[in-house]
Amino acid sequence: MKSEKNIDRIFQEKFKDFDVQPNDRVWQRIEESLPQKKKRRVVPLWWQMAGVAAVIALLITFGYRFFNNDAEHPNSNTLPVVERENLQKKNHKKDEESTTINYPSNVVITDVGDSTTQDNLDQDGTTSTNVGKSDEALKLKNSNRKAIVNQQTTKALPQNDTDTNSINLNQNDKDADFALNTPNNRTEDKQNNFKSVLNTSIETLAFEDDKAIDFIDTVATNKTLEAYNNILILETDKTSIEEAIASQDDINEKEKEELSRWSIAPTVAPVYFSSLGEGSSLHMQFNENTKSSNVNMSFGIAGTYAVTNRLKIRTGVNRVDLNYSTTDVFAFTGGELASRGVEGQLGNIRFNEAGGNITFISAKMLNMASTPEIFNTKVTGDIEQRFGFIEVPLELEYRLVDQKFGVNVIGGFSTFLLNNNEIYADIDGISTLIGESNNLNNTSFSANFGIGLDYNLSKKWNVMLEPTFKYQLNTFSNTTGDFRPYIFGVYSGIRFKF
Amino acid sequence: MSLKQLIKKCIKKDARAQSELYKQFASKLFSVCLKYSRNYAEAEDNLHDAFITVYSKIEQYNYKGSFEGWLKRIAVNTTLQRYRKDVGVYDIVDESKIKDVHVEIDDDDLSLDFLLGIIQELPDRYRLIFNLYTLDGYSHVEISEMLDISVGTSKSNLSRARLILKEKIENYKAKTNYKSLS
Repeated sequence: MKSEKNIDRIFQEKFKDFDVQPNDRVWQRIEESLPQKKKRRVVPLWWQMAGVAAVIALLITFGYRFFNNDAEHPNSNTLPVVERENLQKKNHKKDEESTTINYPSNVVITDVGDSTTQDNLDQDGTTSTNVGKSDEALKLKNSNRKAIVNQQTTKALPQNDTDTNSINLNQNDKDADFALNTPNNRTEDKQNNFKSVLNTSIETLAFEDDKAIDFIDTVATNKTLEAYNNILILETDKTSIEEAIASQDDINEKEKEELSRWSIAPTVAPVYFSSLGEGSSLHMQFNENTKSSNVNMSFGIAGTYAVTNRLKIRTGVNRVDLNYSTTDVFAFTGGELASRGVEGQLGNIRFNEAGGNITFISAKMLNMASTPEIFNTKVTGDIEQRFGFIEVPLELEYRLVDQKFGVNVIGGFSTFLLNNNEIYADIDGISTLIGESNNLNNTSFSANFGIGLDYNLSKKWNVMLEPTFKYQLNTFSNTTGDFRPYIFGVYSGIRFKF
Repeated sequence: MSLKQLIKKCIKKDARAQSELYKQFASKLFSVCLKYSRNYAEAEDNLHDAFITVYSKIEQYNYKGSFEGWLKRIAVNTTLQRYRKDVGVYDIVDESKIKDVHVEIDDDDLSLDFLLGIIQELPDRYRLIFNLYTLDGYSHVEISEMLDISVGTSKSNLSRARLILKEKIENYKAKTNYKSLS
C-alpha cells in the first residue's frame, strides 16, 4: 500500500538515525592542521632526554650515598677492637662495683632499644617470598650478629682460649639464624635468646675458667654498658642499611615524584656591560678613556629541574645584546692624518670599506695646548662596539628561604656564542659602521653569581627577580690594560612549574 | 574516561584526547556535514573545519546543554559560513505570497542515499534552510538570523526546496516505475 506523506516527514524519518563514519583521511588532515601537535612532539622528547639524564644523576647521588654508608662499616667494625683493648685494661683493674645480675638486664636494655631492628626484621619476614632479598637481609643480619658475638666473646674472655670463642660464636650464630627464620619472633623471644646465649657463655666460662668471675664483674661494669651502647649503635647502623634496602622502592617513588618538578620561565633582563679594571678591548691608547654602556635587553627562556626541595639545576637560552662605547676619541678620515705619522690604525678592528681609511686618536693622548689646530676644531666622538650573544647558562640554584617569598643563591657558568659583532664610530657627529672586532671570541664563557628572589603566585606560577653578575672569562682576546669585562643583569620572569 | 575529563583534556590540547573526541563524535558530525554540504568531498572539508573549530573553542563550551548539540551547532555553523555567502541563482518571487506547500508523495523504496543526493543537489540556500527547518528543527526566525535573510525569504525558500525535492522524487519514481514496467 502506498501511504501519502508530507515530504518533511519522509526526510525526517529517513534521517532520524543518519550516521555516517567519515573516511580516515579526514582525521589525518585534522591531525596535521592541529598547531600544537608538532611542538608537543618535539618538546617532550627533549624534556624526556633531560629527564633521563637527571634520573641518572639522582641514581648516582643516591648510589654514592648508599655505598658510602656501606664503606663506613669496616670502620665501625674496628670499634670492637677498641672495646676489647678497653676491656682488657678494665679486666686488669678488676673493678668490683656491680653484681652479675645486672649483666643480662643490660642486655635487655640494649635489646629493647633494638626493637626497631626487630620490626624491620619482621618486615623482611613478611616479604620472604622474595628469596633473594631476604637472603641478603639474612646475611647482613648474620654478619651483624657475628660482630656482636665477636665483641662479646672477646670481652668475655680476654684470656680465654679460642675454643670457647668458637663455641659461643656458633651458638650465637644459630640464635641469630633462628631469630631471622621466624619472622613473627617477638622482641621478648629475642631477649630471651640473647639472655640464654649470654648465660651459656657465662656458664661455659665458669666451667672452663675460674677467672670467669672476673669476667662477669668486668662485664657488669659501666664500661659494659658503654660497650653495649656501641653494639646498639652498630646495630642501628646496620638498620639504616636494611632500611635503605627495604625502602629502595620508596626512594624510586620519590625520584618519580621529583621528575615532575620541572619548571620553565621566559625571562627578560636589562643588562649592562662594563669592565672591572681600566683597560680597552680596542687599543692601549684607549685604556684610560671613559667607557660607557647602554642598558640593553636580554631575552630568554630558562628550564629548571628541582633535584631536591632546595637544590635546582637550570639551563636555558638567552639572547643578549650589548654595547660598549669608548668615548673621547678623535676620528679622522685618511686624508686628514695621512701625513701626520700617527699610529692610528687599530689592530683589534677588522675595518670594512667605510672604515678602511679612518684613523682614531684618543683625546687623552693629546695635550690640548700643543695640538695642531685641527684637533681644536674637531669634536670628540665615540667608538661604539655592539655585540650580541646567544647565551646558554648552566646554573645551580640553592634555596635559602623556602617560603611564599623565596631567596636563592645562584651560581654557575654560561657559554656565549657570538652572533653579532659591529663597531660604529662617531665621525663628524655621524655614527657609521666601520667594521667589526676581530678579538671577540666566537665562543666564550662566564662565571655567574646571582641572588634570586621569587614570589609564589600559586602552586604553578611564581614571579622571580634575579640580579646576576656574569664575569666574562674569555670574551675578548688581545685586550690592553686591566680589561676585565662583566655583564650585570637583573633577570626577571614568570616561572611555570609542571 | 568520562566526557567531562575528555573535554578538560581537549582544553589542554592533549593530542590523545583530541583523537578520542574525534572518534566519539566524527560520525554524528559527518552526517550533519553531509546533509548541509554540496557533496561528499565538501562534507569532508566541512568536517575538518568543524573539528578544528571545536578544538580551538572547546574551552568556550559551558556545560549547559548537551555537548553533542554544541558540537553539531559548530558543524552547522561551519557549513553556513561556507555556503551562506554563495548567492546562487534564486527565482525572484514575491516571497510573502507563497504559502507553505505541502507535497504529498508516497515514500516507499526511497533510499537514504537518494534522498541525501537530492538534498545536496539543492541550491545552497534552499539546502541550508531545508536542513535547518525540516531536519534540525530551527524556526524561521532563527534561520532568518543565522542566514541574515528575512523570515519571509526563509519561508519561501523552504517551499521552493520542498517543491524541488518533490519533483525529483516524482521523477525518480517515474523512472523506477518505467523500469519496472518495461
